[in-house]
Amino acid sequence: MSCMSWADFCQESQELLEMSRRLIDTWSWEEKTSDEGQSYLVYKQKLSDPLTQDLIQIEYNIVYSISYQVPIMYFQAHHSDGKMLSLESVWQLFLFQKDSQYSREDMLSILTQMEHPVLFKPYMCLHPCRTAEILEQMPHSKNRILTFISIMGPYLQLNLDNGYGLLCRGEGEYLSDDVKNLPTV
Amino acid sequence: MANDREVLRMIWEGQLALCFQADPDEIVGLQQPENFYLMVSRLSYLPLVTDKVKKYFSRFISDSQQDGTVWFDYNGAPLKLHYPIGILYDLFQEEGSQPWCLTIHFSKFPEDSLVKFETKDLLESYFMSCLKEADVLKHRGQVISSMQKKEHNQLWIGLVNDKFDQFWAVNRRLMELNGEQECFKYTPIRFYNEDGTYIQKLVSPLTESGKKKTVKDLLDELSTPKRKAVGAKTHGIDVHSETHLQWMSEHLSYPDNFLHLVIYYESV
Repeated sequence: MSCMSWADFCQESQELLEMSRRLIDTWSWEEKTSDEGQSYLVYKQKLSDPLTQDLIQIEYNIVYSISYQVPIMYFQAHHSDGKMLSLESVWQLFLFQKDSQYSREDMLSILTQMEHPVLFKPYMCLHPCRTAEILEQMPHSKNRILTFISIMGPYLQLNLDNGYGLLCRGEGEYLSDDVKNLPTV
Repeated sequence: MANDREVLRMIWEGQLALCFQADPDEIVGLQQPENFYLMVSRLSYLPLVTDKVKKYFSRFISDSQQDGTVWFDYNGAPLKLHYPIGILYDLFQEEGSQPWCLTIHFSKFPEDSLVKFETKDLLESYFMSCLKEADVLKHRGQVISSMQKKEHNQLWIGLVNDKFDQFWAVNRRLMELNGEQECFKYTPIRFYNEDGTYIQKLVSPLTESGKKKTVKDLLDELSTPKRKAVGAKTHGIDVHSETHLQWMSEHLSYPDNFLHLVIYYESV
């Protein structure tokens, strides 16, 4: 199993935050206590509901799962009038809107409403049971949190800028700062 | 493997007397309905045992107040619908008196603080995710993933219908040890604070020197220089400090396969 320790999670989160700062993106870090699992990454965005044109506010939290030892995605979505979206509406909004082959049973095996392990409030959660497997298939990942968000995010319309990929590979550095600092011959 | 079958049976049969009262603001007409009394299993969940309660009170509530999902409070605190009833009671009813009086509400669901289960399959999905997580801790998830869908169903149906034999016919496999193992890899366990929140940690059933961990070892582990953990309660029992953690996991876990312990602290 490709396990991630709490220390790995914190360190790779900090790397992601640094990339976010450089790309003028808005990822942030919430720390309740310094105990294991009690800090997490936060990202917020607004999406327009294609059916109603309502502006929906979504908050994504990447939390560390102590049991599975992988990152786990929690999110909460609110309508513009402040009401929370139900599991079904979220499923309609994000996931397999056009693919009718997905049944209610499929939905329940992927998404669950759960209590956020730090905030103790209801959040939607993408089941973590296959995350370790997925991360294992990416043995060369330099930042597993970035890999995790890039793979799971698109299902929830969380699409990262390509700049993250470049920065993570080191090319971003070369393109931005290092170009200017190259010694002249 | 779990072999103290009598203990399993006693835990399964643990019941609580509940008394439900209406929310006076939701009642139409002058007459307050009488309270509704019910014996419920400690191991079950409020949404699984309150269909009758809901049906009884709904006659007294105007249609406009009934938006589908009922919820309950004790002394003004909304009760989590996804915590087993026994934990709610151990957490919030400190004197241990019964019947335990709860208020049923048909409207104004507190969606910011309670997970909402409009239908029972949503609670089932939550329950199954707890079982999976517990098995990841005990056996790296290998037992639950080797089971068939109908066996997963049998666990849930056994709990819903309060059928000990049906539930344990499958659950015993989840409580078995792999091959030569003496203990689970980690103990699925939640430590509750008195405010109703809990923490999870990776807890090995063995001490660093390889001995079986006891409740006392566990309390020492939870103590900090500022506060000392002095007791652990589950199923209404103050667990003896010499009890082995592995034995507790096999015999005192709730159906979701987690030990749910209320921990008492003293400041140092």
